[in-house]
Amino acid sequence: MESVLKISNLNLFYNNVQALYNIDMDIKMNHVTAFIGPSGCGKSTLLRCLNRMNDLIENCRIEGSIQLDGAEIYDKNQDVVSLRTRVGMVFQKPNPFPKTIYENVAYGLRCQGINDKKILDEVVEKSLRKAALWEEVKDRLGQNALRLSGGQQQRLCIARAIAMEPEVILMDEPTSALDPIATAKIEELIQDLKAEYTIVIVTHSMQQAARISDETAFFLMGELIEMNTTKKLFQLPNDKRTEDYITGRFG
Amino acid sequence: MVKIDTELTLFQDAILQMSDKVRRMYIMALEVLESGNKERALAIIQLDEFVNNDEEEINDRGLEVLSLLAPVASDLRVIVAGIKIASDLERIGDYAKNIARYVIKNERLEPELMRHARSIGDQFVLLYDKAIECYRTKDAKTAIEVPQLDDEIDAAFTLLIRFIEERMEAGENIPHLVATVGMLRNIERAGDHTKNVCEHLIYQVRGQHYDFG
Repeated sequence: MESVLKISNLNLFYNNVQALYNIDMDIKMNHVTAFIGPSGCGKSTLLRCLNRMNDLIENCRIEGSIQLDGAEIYDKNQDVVSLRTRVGMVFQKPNPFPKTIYENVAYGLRCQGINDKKILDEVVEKSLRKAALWEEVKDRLGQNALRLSGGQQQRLCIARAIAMEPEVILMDEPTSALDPIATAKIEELIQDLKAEYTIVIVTHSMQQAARISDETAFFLMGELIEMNTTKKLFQLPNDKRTEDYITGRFG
Repeated sequence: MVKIDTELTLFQDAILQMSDKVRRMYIMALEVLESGNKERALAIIQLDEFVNNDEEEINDRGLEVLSLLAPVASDLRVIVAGIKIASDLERIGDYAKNIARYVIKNERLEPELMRHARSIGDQFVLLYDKAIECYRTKDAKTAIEVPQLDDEIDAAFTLLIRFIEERMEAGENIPHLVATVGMLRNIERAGDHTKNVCEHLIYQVRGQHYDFG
């Protein structure tokens, strides 16, 4: 199985505090990879390394290597904006722009200077369809996105990421602010999306990781303790610390 | 203590209590075979009702843990293995009940046949006790060896068959002897189900599948 992202010997420091220790990991193409672990274990920090969101944090220093399709993403010649079109991100709290539904999805293309209405119409419809939102919003594309429900807003954010045709979609607890029905829709969507995209998801719900991911990585205090197929990790983990965590005996 | 720990302890205690009842059924079955006491045989049949009830309670308790506490990894295997073990124990109990029924319907065994029955029965209790001890102590290593004791039951059973064949060749009453073999076959089958208990325990502890036949 081909890997899209290859993380090697990654160390991350906030000032002098080390937050990630010697992470080695391959993210496989068209797989859903879940990061689990207690708060502060470094899972979101690692996720944010994958499209250089940590560049925005002062005094954050990274050592080691992350390769996307064989090219180093921390190379000084790497254009961060183009990296983020290839590695999209969906956050914990839906964060649509205070614009119309249509403009939210078209936003990235407009930033790239694409204003041809025919192209934009096509991309908006295709992205909303892929995000399983089209049927619900097709008659009100001009409506302000903030009037959508939380679950719809989150799917809109996914559509906005998809519009850029990324290879990888990062999701940081994408359903933690949603009710069970909206959560189920997003989970179903993730299953559909993996045919075309590689998905990395941080989740606090172990049941969610078990339901939707192919591979699961368990982190503890900045270390990758165990990465395995989800089936194996939840049935017969190799490491006692993984077993303690997934069976709720941590702490 | 984590809530699931309490629940799993209660679940496993219930299985051990069920296994005690099943053991008592065999001790009583071997007694009534010897004494021919039909009232006591009836008590075995009544005890089987309690064993059947235990299995249902263990299943309910297991399903409750599955639905409310969503166990994974070793916790999940405790429940899955436990439900299967309870099912095997229930069958083992049924075999003791069949012996009790035989005692109610038939005359006492003659001394020589009783010696064979005692030999098969004692071997079974030995196997059963070791298997349950493995479950009690979560000893997968010993549980891999314990099923070999079933060979002793099979050997004792073969001796009985040979003994009966000789008697039949000598022109003895066949239906009576065939019924005795059928009755004692119950213990041999109980031995096979006891081996399953070892298989389930190994799965519970190690997550590995063993097949002792």
